[in-house]
Amino acid sequence: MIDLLGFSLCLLSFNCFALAKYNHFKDVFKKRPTESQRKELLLAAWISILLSLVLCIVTQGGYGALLFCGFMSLSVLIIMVFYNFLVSYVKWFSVLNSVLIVLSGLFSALN
Amino acid sequence: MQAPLHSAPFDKVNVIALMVKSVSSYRVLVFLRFFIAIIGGYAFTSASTALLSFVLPIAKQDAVLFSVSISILIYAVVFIYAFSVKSLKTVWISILLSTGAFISLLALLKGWV
Amino acid sequence: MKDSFFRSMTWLHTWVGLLVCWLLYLIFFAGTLSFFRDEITLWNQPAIHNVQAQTQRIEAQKQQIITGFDYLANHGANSSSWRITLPEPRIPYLIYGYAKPKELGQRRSKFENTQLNPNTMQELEPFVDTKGGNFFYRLHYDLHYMDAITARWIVCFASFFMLIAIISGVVIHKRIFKDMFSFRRNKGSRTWLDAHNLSSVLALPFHLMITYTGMITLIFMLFPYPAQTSYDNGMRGFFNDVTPRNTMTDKAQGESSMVPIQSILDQVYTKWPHADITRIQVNQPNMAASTITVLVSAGKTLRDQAPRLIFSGATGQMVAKTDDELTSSKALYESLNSMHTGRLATWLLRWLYVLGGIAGCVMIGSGCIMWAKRIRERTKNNVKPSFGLKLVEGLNLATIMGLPLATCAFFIANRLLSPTTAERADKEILAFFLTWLAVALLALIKRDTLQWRVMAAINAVACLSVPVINALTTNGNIVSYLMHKQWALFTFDALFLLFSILFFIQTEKLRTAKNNSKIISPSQSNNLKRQKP
Repeated sequence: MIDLLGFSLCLLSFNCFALAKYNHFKDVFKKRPTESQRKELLLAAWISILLSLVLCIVTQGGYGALLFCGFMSLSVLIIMVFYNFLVSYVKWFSVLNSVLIVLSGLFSALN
Repeated sequence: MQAPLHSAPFDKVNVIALMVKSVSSYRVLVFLRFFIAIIGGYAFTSASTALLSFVLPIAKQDAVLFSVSISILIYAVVFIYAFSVKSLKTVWISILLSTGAFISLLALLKGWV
Repeated sequence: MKDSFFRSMTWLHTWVGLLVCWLLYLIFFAGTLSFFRDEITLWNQPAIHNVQAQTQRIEAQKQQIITGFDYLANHGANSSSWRITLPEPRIPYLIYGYAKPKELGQRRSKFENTQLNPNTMQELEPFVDTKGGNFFYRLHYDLHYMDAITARWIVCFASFFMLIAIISGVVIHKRIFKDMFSFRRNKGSRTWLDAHNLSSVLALPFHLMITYTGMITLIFMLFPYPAQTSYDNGMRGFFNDVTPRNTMTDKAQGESSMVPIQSILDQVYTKWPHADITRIQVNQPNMAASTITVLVSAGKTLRDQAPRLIFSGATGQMVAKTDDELTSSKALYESLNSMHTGRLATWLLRWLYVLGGIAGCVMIGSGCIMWAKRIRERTKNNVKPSFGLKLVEGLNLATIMGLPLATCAFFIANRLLSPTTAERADKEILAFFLTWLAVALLALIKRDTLQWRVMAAINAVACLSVPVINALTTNGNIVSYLMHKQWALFTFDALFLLFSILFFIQTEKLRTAKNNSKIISPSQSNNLKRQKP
């Protein structure tokens, strides 16, 4: 479950990175992002990717860094698929992503 | 010495084919550059890691393991260097000189001479 | 200056990449399969299909070792070496083995192995002669049908060029982060460029890591010089220094009875209360100089050399051990090695490794296809394509479509060859290479879209036939694997079905693709790659 938390944080991070780009934001929300929105998205992205890295290394030791690299690859792949082929589902996907973070976070915290 | 290498990406192959003269010199220059990058880079890496493992002030096995671990990094940097510098002469001289310097220093330290 | 640097890197990327891309594709393909080495061996060996994983694996080890010593004392008392290989999570069975007397001309003596089901301690049915996953493992650095050392030099050379291609690729891909999530469909060679960029960028850390560490695994062949200058007796001196060796009782002469293994295990469990023992080796059993080496799993630490304790078999005293704490250089070297092999990776990490490996195959494959397509697009219709272009196109077809088919042939041969066939393992490998050769010959004749379509269709049928033939020739099939929770076997068959579907989709896409016979492969072709489990 802690792996899922690490992964979903990584996914969220790349989701934010993608949204922080004008063309992708426009595809999803049909309008241009304001400068402050972009900054917030980038900030959220960096925070969650660092959290994911820390989580992986703390829980998995040496293999954690490798796991993190793998998570990044998988996240970029998934994000690429959504933003290029399934743009209309991006909003639902982002909701699901956040739910995953909350659920896996709660689960890990309780155990 | 203006290496045609830089002005000849693959899409110009046909143009080059027309200029028979430049073909030979182009090929020779490419060969010389690959030669110094592969063989010269290998010699440079071998000499520098051998010297490094000998002079590092840590346990012998640690010094060896550390120098082999970074050897590929050194090789890659030298290789990229050999292709990024415009003047082929500079590349040859710098790599040969530094390799020679490493080997002579090593020979001096080991008492081979 | 900056511009010329950029251009020289573009030049370097293209030519260095093109020179070795087919060999690299083979290395990446076989290397990716090697992450499933144990699973492939399991599939190839029907005798162990029904061995259930133990529920109390580590707890059972002590008894298994004691039983093993009794067995070996009875059967191999005069042997020069014993080996007990305990079940691991991915290798469910137990092996007791002793060395047979060395025959003339053998470098190492062969082992007489008894394989047991750890749950019942019954001997398993006889194994068929197969290399299994080891074939792909060796193929990815020893190649085949050639001297291993020459092959390793060639592989190292190709890997080094790969590293150069990656570095120069990062330099020339200026918009690396800008275009990170963009993919342009149906744009001819643009699409291939995007597939190339995406597969490189998304697994860039993996590509760099696997290429660098791959060379590190063979580093003492590549750069023996540091060890040779630091040690007077060269490599031998170095290796003697790094590996723990018995120097206390190795000079002892004569025979001696062995101490009970129980007392040695007690010492192991005192030192490591939760030890997961993987193997026990006994050298010169029943001699005064005998040693008993206990290897344990490194667990979550990045270490390639398994932690081990070495005991004297005659006295029971510990004579050597690996370091508990590695020095930083050793830790660096060990972690580089273990990152490459990923031997102790969890199933999640293993799949992520495979994802990286597939991305690598896509990167290399799309790179060489893109080169051919660009030259094709620039060639005027009335100009005859150059020999170089034809060669590249032929090699592209032969490697990209030939390797998956050859892999299918390897597995089909495993099931169809009779268990009693002489040199059976070699014949499986022969099937692999003959199939590949056949595809290469077909690629000699024609390399157009139709040929790609035919190959995709053949691949689709071949992938489908692997699980079907498995169901016909063994007791299990994909449904029974699912029912009995035999996940490794189930995944194996399911992946072949998946790739069969992907190849089928590719066949269809090639049919509907713009029928431009000058273009060797469809602009629409899926970038989902033809990679096998």
